[in-house]
Amino acid sequence: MGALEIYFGTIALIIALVGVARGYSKELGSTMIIMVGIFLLSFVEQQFNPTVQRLVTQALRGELAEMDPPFLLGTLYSTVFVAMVFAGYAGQVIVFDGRPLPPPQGTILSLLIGGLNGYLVAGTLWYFQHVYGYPLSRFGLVVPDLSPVAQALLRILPQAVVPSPTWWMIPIAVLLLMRVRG
Amino acid sequence: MSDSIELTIAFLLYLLLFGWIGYRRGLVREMAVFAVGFGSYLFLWRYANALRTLINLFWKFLYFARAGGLAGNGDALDLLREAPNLVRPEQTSTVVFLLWAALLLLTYLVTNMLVPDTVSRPGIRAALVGMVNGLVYLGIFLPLLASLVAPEIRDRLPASPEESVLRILGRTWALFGDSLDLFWDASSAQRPFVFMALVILLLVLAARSLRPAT
Repeated sequence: MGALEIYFGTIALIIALVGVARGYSKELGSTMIIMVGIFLLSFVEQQFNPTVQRLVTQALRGELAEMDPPFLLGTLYSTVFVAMVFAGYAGQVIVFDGRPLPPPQGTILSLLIGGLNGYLVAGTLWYFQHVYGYPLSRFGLVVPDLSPVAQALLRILPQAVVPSPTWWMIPIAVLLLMRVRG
Repeated sequence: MSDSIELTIAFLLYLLLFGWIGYRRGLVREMAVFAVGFGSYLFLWRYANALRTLINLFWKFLYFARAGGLAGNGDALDLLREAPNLVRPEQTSTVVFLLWAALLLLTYLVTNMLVPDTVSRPGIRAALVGMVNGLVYLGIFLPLLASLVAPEIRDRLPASPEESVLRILGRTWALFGDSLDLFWDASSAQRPFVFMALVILLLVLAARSLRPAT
């Protein structure tokens, strides 16, 4: 595997390009779901991590239960987050009615919103990998060798910039208000 | 490093100014200025020596004509041999620059007069092309202006305008990065607030820009 920043950067880039293809009117609904996911997982992680760890260990029997807790938690949080993101893109989300701006303004906005989504998704996945000792490295999917660039990027991951879950509710509330107000 | 924020702001203001000029003049006029301004500079720079030769030949032809060479005066040929060159090799860059500046000014005037407003519409594309024009002028004028203030800079001037523009873009990018680093370090306590304010601004901007479907 290549460098971590290439790995997660590629994920962010792909999501940004998907955003350009879908248009920002659709991307806004996905942004809300991604932020809800970040809020919920950060909240659970900060408040109930020991409980979640105990529940997961009890639920898993045999060899899986013998695995170290960080690996289980990292995998669990990453999986739940990916499922939420998938739901945000594939499922029904809050729709923002209206026609997007024509190119190039519309394309630039789509790229910005798609880029934000890419940053949130790739950054959150990287955060869970980093905090829980890179569970994916057990499967040989990533090599946790942090280059100077990767170390610099770790400082700007979403959860590193905004550690408190409460903050993530503010943009969601603003978008909801705008949607309700129309 | 300590001046990087001021330099970045100055640079952004400069770009905004040219963006505004581009927005007002419209896309077609700005594209024409870009094509003529950048294209002619590259062309004149590349063929500067040939251009000097042409100017000198034309000058000698005038010399020859004034001496009566066209009327069959035999002494005109002797005079032609002794005629001095109008442009000496060390003056080539000055002549090229003057020619380019005159051409650019003419292009601005001609596009203003001949291209109607209905053809050259204002808009964000025009503003972007205006900014690109600003970058080109920066690449060409800045080294010259800087060498006026500090003549020792002349020895370190880029070899060509393309190199100059690329060097300025590279330096601007580094400067922008330095400013972001400084801003990031300075706002450590308010980082969540700054980040969320930017995110909310972007989301509101996007949501507000959606127009009612007809």
